[in-house]
Amino acid sequence: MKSTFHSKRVKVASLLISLMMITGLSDLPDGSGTLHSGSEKAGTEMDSKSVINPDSEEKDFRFPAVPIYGDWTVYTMDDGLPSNKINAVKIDEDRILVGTDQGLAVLENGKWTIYTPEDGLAHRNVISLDVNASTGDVWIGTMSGLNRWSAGVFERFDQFNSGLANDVVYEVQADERYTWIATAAGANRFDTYTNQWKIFNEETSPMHEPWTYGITYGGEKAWIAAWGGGVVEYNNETDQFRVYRDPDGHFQISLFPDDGLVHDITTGVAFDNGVLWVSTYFGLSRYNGQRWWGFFDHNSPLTSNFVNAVKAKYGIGYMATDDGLNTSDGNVWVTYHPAEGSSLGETRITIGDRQRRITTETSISHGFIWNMDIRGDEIWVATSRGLSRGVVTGYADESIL
Amino acid sequence: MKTRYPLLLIGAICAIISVRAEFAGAQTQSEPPRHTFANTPAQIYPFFNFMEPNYRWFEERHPYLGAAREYPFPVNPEVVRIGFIAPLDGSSEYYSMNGQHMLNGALMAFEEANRAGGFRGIPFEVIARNDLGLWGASGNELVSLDDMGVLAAIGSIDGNNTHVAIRVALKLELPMVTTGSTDPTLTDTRIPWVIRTNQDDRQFNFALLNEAYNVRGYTRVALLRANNRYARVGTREFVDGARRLGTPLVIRQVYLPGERNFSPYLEKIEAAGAEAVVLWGEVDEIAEIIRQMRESGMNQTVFTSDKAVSGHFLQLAGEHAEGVIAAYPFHPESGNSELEAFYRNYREKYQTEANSFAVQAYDGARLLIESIRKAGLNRALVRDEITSIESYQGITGTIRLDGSWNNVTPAFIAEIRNGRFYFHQFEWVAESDNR
Repeated sequence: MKSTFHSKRVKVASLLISLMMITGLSDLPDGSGTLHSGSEKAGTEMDSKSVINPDSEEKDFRFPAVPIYGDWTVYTMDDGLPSNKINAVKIDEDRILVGTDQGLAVLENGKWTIYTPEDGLAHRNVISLDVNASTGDVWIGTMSGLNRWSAGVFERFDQFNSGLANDVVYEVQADERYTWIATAAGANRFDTYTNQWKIFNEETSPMHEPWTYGITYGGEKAWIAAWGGGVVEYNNETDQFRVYRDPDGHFQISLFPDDGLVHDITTGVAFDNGVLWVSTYFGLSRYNGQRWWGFFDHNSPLTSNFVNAVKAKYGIGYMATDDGLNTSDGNVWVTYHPAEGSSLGETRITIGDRQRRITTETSISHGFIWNMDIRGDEIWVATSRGLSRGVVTGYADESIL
Repeated sequence: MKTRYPLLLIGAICAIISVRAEFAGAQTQSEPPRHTFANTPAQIYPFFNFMEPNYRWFEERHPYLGAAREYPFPVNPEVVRIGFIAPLDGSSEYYSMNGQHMLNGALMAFEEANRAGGFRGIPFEVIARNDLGLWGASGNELVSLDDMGVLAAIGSIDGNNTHVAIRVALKLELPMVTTGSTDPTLTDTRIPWVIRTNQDDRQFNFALLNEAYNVRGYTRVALLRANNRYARVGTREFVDGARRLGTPLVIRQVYLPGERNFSPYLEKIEAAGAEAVVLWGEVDEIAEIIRQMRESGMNQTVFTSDKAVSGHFLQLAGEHAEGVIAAYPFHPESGNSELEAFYRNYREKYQTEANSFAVQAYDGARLLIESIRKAGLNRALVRDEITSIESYQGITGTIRLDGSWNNVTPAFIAEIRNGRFYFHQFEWVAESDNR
């Protein structure tokens, strides 16, 4: 019932906004935020000083406010992708790595190259990707094994030839020395210096359930999204653990909104600027080391409680939900969704209890988001139907409302 | 002036406490808000005696919002492939035996469907895989089935393996019907691709709680369970429910799987003054515990899981099985003509008696077949069909799915009297005179 009502509401709003655009009555931001054909800018104009140069990207850089992405470009099978189902995407210097259910696609110099099991890919269904910034090695998690793609060679890791916990590799994250892996039946830390595997499961760690979905690292710590077991924090220097669980301890309820992790069925973790973001199928959690915040679609601008994955960069959390792309710094939210029944997009900006909806001429390709990657002023979004690229066109601050 | 503020503050706090106490009292006496999750009796809903939670999950079914409905039907397929995963061969005789029964039951449904024309003249083909091997094998096997182009899958039994499989099903966007796992947490995951057509241990716990506390009026109940995941999650609702009823378990004991001397645990249970004991573990362990109880003079009523409802248990426990009370998913001797026909056909085909895994797999497979016939050869459309089912009439009775797509049909109580099982469907006694 709720989704029907929601759909109708969105449809009516889109219709009204479209009508206003046609009649010139739209409440559009003036000056830099003027929405007109080809620019799609909104909010505060992007200061040229705040544009990030990926080549000199500062580790502690933060966006001045939640960015507003626009000028969306969509890639589908018509453009050379092997499938429209995009599971994962990674920006790797000047090329884009794309994990689809029919192979790995690489966009370089405007040309797509497809890699399949015939080329050495562990499995056609690529579901996670990362690049070791120091070595340039590409780590590829598939539905049946893990690859290290180095110097043009696909090296395969699986349960039979390595310490990989399980062949279904939901997440892979590579820091300078270690590759962190979340599998369907336990997580791993692979030491690329010594080739040693460490396994994290219910026998080697305080993991309530052994099924892992996401993993990330930051400083001396790593965090594992253990499905049904909350978040397991591992200190890589002291070899000690800490576990974060839903305090009410029940899957069927959320007792209090901000009492801790929103749910134990976690699907992803991301760490940035001292903040841990945790995605679940029951909402989103944000933890700054002192306090937890819980976000749900019934009490916040989060567009769906079903959050497939989370990333965090430049002080912003990026949430891949089954009903839109969400970005937030914890206070200000900008969400993206294709406008229903048209090729237009809808961007919603929420600051406090005030919200503005903007209809854009371009859009992310589908509302069901599997994952995304961010670098500099661009974002790439993996969706259920196609890949989308957006760029920062402004920032969400009071001036836009 | 300053001294008045603390007094005012104390007064205000007292007033708030007083109002809160009245509110709490009123809340416990009033009707609970309507909810569907697991068909949980109001008295044992989490925190019901204290407060309304901020949010109740599973009151609505979560929709699938992806693009998979757009995928075209396969062109001129020769067969419609259905995946099947279960423990079929491995170290556990119990699991592999039941996995084989489950496969047999599912196969009977698909063979019947093929005799009736399959899917618009295209036969169904069941591809079975064993998940009782490598750690997390069910995920790998489901991926392999996806590679073969299955339209949907059925499975499995073990909670661990089924959890791994349903997450893979979510990523593969593959509809899945679970017919054998009693792990209550499976459908607590909000995966909109998976339904469960058998009752879980939560439903069994509700039936046993009602029988122990509401019907028989016990107030001092003990728990002895195996130290493994099956028994941990399988008894959680009983432990929580007993506490919420105001009669927490008097003692909880955990044994290591494989242990054969249970006297240290039993002595503690006896010393705690238990009137009844809940046992949760493998069938040979339960039989042995009961034997040791009775031989040491312990006459407490024993409550246990569906695993005890078998000829194998009666054989193992012998005379000591008398009076044991177990939960069971349906009435195997209900006289339902379709059920009787299934038993006959099964016996004829496999030269053995069908057990609950076979019967429930048959029901789950028939539900899936009907859904495929309505939806066509698109996974998301099949998903839409199976997840829109409110109730389904199977040979086991009515399968009623809640907001988490879990079968919440009240379980049956099976009591052993004179070496026979006697069944009746449990009905929650809201305010028992026995308490």
